[in-house]
Amino acid sequence: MDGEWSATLLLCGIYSLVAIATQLGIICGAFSLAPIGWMSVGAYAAALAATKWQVGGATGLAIGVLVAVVFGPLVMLPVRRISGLYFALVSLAFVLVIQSVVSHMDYTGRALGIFGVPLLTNLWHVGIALVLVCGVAAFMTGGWRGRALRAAGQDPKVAYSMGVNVANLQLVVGAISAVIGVVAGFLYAHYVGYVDPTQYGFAMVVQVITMVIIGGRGHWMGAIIGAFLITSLPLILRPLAEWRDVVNGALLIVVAVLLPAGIFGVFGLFRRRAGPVDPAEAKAGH
Amino acid sequence: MLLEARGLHIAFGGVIAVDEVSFTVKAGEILGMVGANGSGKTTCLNMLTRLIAPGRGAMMLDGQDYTALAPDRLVALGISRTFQNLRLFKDLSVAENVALGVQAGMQAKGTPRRERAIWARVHELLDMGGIRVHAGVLPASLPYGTQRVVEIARALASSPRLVFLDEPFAGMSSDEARMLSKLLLDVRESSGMALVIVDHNVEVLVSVAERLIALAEGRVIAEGAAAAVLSDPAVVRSYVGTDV
Repeated sequence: MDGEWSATLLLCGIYSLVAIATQLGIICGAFSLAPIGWMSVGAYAAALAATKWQVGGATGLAIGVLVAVVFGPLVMLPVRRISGLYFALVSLAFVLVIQSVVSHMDYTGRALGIFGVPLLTNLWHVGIALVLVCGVAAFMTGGWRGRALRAAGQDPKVAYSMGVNVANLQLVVGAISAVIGVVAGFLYAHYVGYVDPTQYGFAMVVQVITMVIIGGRGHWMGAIIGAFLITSLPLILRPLAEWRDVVNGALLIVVAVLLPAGIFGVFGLFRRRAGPVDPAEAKAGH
Repeated sequence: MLLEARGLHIAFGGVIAVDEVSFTVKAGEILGMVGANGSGKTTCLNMLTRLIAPGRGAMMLDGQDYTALAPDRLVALGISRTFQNLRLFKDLSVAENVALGVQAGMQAKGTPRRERAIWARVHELLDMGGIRVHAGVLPASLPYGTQRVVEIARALASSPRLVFLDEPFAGMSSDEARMLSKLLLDVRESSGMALVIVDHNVEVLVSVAERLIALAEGRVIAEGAAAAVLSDPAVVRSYVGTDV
């Protein structure tokens, strides 16, 4: 595969991870941008493990994951009091606080960041991570768990009365999406070879939100579609030279206007929602 | 006694919505709750299903005090409800809405929540309510009366012992209301569950409820057989505004 395309494919995979993490929060009613902050934690864990702690990459990843499991649910806690865009703003503050902290600490290299992160990430690593995360997402959003998750996202009060412990569910999702964010950041740092605070800021937040909205809210596959489209579009449109950004923007507007449920929403129309058909009934012609 | 509400009281910003309301429901009984708008019926139901915490008072189910229990634990006790304004999950299909009730019941009983078992029960319930044909559609695409039936099917899906129905006949044609009342009586007959029904459609309510309780300004003003409650001067006054 051409180097540029394989690089784009690799980035598509990494962005898919963080978009899935964001999507899981949206599905359960917690529109959290925290996964971008967690991506930053994963990237700095990778960089510090390689350059300062002098431990292996696996140890760095383990430390990042541990931090995510412990503090991921804490970042989700405010959703008990606020929701919707207000919660999104709180989670954005988390992203910006992390960005601000690492850009003011000598230990994290201040605004320059940390260079010299070994270039270890390859397509296989990203592919395996994506398959595993898709498995987790399918497990969380399928069957009775998925119905409970979507119920919690749509009407928490009624979900409670249907026996769904909405608050606990959101904390679990907080931990899972934090871990996915850390893994994405870890892979990214080991791909580009350095970390700096600007990588995981407001621009990344906007990009991930665009991926989720364009791909389709409400399903993890929508996040992947959005991540692949948004990440690869600049390369696909390169022959258009200086018109590339114009066409890129216009395409996004068209998708947003014509497909309000996102690209996956089109496929969603064909999803079976009536439950499995009894083979005996199908045979009898019901 | 299945349900015992003792001295329920709640005030919102100084306005007393429910004041010292006490009543009981026997196992398998259908109790109708009537009262003019703002009399505190729905607030009572919201307290009894723990969506709001009572300011004072106690609620017991089979002698077990559940006043401080979290709302998601009530399904395990055997309590479910419907809402005054339809509150179906709009992005879940009719079948998925009912499946949520089924899986809640399985969780409560400690039964493994296997998809095959869940869907088998969902299809049974949809057949019972005559809404199987709508299984795969989103609730918003259905007529109001059908959506009501879906919500009731969802409430019954957890096989509860006590169901609170908040204005189940509202917005229904007389035929739909008659069919629903027959369905409720059949369900009670087959399962033995108790129902507390709040509704303004007194005619239909009387046809299903064995006993009525009337509220006015947050207080119980009459309780007993339907005929006696509806002819009670206090009840007439609360509805008409004057003695008749």
